[in-house]
Amino acid sequence: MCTSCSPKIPLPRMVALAIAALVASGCSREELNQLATRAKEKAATSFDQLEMSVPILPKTGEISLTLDAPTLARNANATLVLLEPNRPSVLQIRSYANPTQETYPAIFFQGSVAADSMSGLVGKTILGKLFVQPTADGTIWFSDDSSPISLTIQSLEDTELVGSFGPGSLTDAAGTTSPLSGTVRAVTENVVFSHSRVTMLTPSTHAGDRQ
Amino acid sequence: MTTPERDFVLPWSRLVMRFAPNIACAIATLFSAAAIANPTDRAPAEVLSLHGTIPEALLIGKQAIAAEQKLREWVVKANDDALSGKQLSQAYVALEQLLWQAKILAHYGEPTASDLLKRAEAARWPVENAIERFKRTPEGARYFQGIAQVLASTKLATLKSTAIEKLTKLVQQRRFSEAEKLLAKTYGDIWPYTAYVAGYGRGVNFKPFETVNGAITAEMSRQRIESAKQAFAERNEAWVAARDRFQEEIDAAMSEFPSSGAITFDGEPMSGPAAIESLNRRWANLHMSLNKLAAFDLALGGKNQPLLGEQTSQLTRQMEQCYSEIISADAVRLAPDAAQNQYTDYLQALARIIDQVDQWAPETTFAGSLSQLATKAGIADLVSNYESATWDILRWRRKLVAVQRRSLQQDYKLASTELQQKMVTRPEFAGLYSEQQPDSLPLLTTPASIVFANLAQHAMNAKITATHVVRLSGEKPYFMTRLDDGIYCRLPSKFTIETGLAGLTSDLLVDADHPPWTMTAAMALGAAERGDYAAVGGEVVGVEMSGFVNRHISLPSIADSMLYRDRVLSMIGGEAPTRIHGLDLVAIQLSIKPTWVASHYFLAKVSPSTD
Repeated sequence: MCTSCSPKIPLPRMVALAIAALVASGCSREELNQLATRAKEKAATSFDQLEMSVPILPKTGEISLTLDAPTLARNANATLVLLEPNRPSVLQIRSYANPTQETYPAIFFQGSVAADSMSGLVGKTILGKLFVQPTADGTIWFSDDSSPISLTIQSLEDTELVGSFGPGSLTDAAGTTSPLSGTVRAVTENVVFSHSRVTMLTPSTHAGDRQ
Repeated sequence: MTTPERDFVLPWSRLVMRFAPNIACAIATLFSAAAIANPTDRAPAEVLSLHGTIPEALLIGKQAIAAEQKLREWVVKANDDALSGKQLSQAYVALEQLLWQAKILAHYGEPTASDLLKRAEAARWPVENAIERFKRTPEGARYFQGIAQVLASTKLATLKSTAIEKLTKLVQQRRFSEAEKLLAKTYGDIWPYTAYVAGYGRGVNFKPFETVNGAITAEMSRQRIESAKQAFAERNEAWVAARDRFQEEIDAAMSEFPSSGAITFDGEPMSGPAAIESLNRRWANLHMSLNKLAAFDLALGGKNQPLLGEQTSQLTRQMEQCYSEIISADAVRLAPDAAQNQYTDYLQALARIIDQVDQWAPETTFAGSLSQLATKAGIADLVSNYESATWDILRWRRKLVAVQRRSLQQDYKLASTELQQKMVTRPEFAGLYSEQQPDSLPLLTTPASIVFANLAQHAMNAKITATHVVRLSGEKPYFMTRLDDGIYCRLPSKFTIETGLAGLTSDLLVDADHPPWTMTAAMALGAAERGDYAAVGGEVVGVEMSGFVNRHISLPSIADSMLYRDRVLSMIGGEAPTRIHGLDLVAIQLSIKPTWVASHYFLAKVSPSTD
């Protein structure tokens, strides 16, 4: 079945369109009947999905943390910022696209890395700062300067960086400490901040810059 | 037993002359120690000190402060009924003389006058009550009989009429200074007796002096106010000349620098970054002089130079333009390699000064010219990337500090708010703020010694916070907070924080070989390294009260950063003088033992080993 079709097209019309396409491609009637039956069966099984789903969106990533309570952010972006030679690059992972319009929970991780591409991070463990603000105007959990949080990068598939945090611990603004662990799937994309002078650069752009 | 009649034979004129306004310096210097003290938790009864801008005020003030100390001793004894009839007269004369001197001091713009006037008035009740109690004793009744005889005597009548004749002649000859001395002497001869009569019985003795007294007082007041205005005018003229010279230096810098790449100050050529720092130091001195001038103006009624604040803001804008043009000129003039070094030097220089000017926003004020220089140096993309690498973590650090400070607010109240709440004047409680305007500036409405006792009781050991810690770099470092509505804190000259700077440096990826590339990062590190913190919290371990005017006038030029550059002048030249008398305003210094400090980017505990 053509997954690129709009899922909002009603099922009978979709089956008819599929058969019409096959006729046009020169299939025999018998073959067409078999295909039509299979198409109907398949369409029937995915009927609910077709009717209920929204247009297929690009991947958004996700950060799932276990802190004092489970904390789930349904967006995650990863950015690698390259600086001058001999200075570490910076990996940043955010749960929000725009720092001036954060969504909550708001999560930010930053660590220095000796790598100039996302692929170079796979298999590495990065020590860095982690900030978590579960609600607007609420407390902020943070990793102390002396106790950085580890992020182990497991894979980079297409544009998705997958890794796991911790174990470690975070402290909140009142001084309470909580154990921390969690996972991240972050989309490595260009992110342009509304802060006008800040433009995030993708690994490919960095590579170009460095030449 | 001493009788009033015998006292009359030995006139009080010698005593009066001793305290007469224009007395020799030699006596005044004996009291110099008293003149520099303020009420503190260790010496709570001290009088508000003198600033002595006008030398005559220093002389009279020192005498008056000494007289107040003596009066204080007499009041204690009067309350215990431990004074003889003659001593009670002396106590009464002392309080009248103190009022006389304090009124003169007020013309010279000394807040000490405000304190002394209130102390003299406060002493009247116990002294006069003690006299009334004494009169009811057998000894007192006899003494009063003698007093009554003197008051009805022809001797006293002759003394008065002779004095009035002489005074009238002196007034006609416009020899007012001599007339004032004679008037003081004559009153000094009469007061010991009028001390024992109240109301009409007292007033009638001075009624004949009304005309000459009015003429003398009016003229001497006019002369003193005039001399104070003259002193202000001279200082103002000097300041305007200095400001004009500074203006010329700015103009010269802007015309000279683009071609030569250097600016010559005092024969020494300076590069752009050094020139900016030098100009800023000159401006700091000028600004401090201006604050002193404005404070003196406030002491004299605040009407002499209302446009100073406006002129200052204009000059600040010109400096901003000048600094931008210097940076831009280097961007045009320098080769790329040199431009890169100069870029980091400019960041360092600006980071040291930019926080001192409230209206300069670091991320925008010099952004254009610095960007020009970065482009010339070929590091524009690097700067942009560095900003990407540091901007959000700095934002999170600021957010965290804001939340941490909010959670500390429960235990550490803002110093000015704490005092505005605790020190509201109520019946039976001498405070510093009125119920109607609790958020106004602290104001003396009762003797400083009384209000200070209440202040010390509420402030000592209180946990407070204050904003804008600045490190004053003199021979010995001072950590002070900016004056906030007349309240400021003093920190120990040495203290150690547990963490903070290392983590910030690491987050900003800075080490010996890698500088910060943005103004924000350079400022964050610069402020933390210097010890300029956004806030401090701690326990009050000492309190000092001074005249608000004196606090400004006595600040050394290194303390310029204790003053909001664009706000204090408008406050002094603005609404304050129309509502209140500048001499009644006080400033409170709270010495604190810090338990934490907050930079904009980290909050750190202060090590217990702090001095």
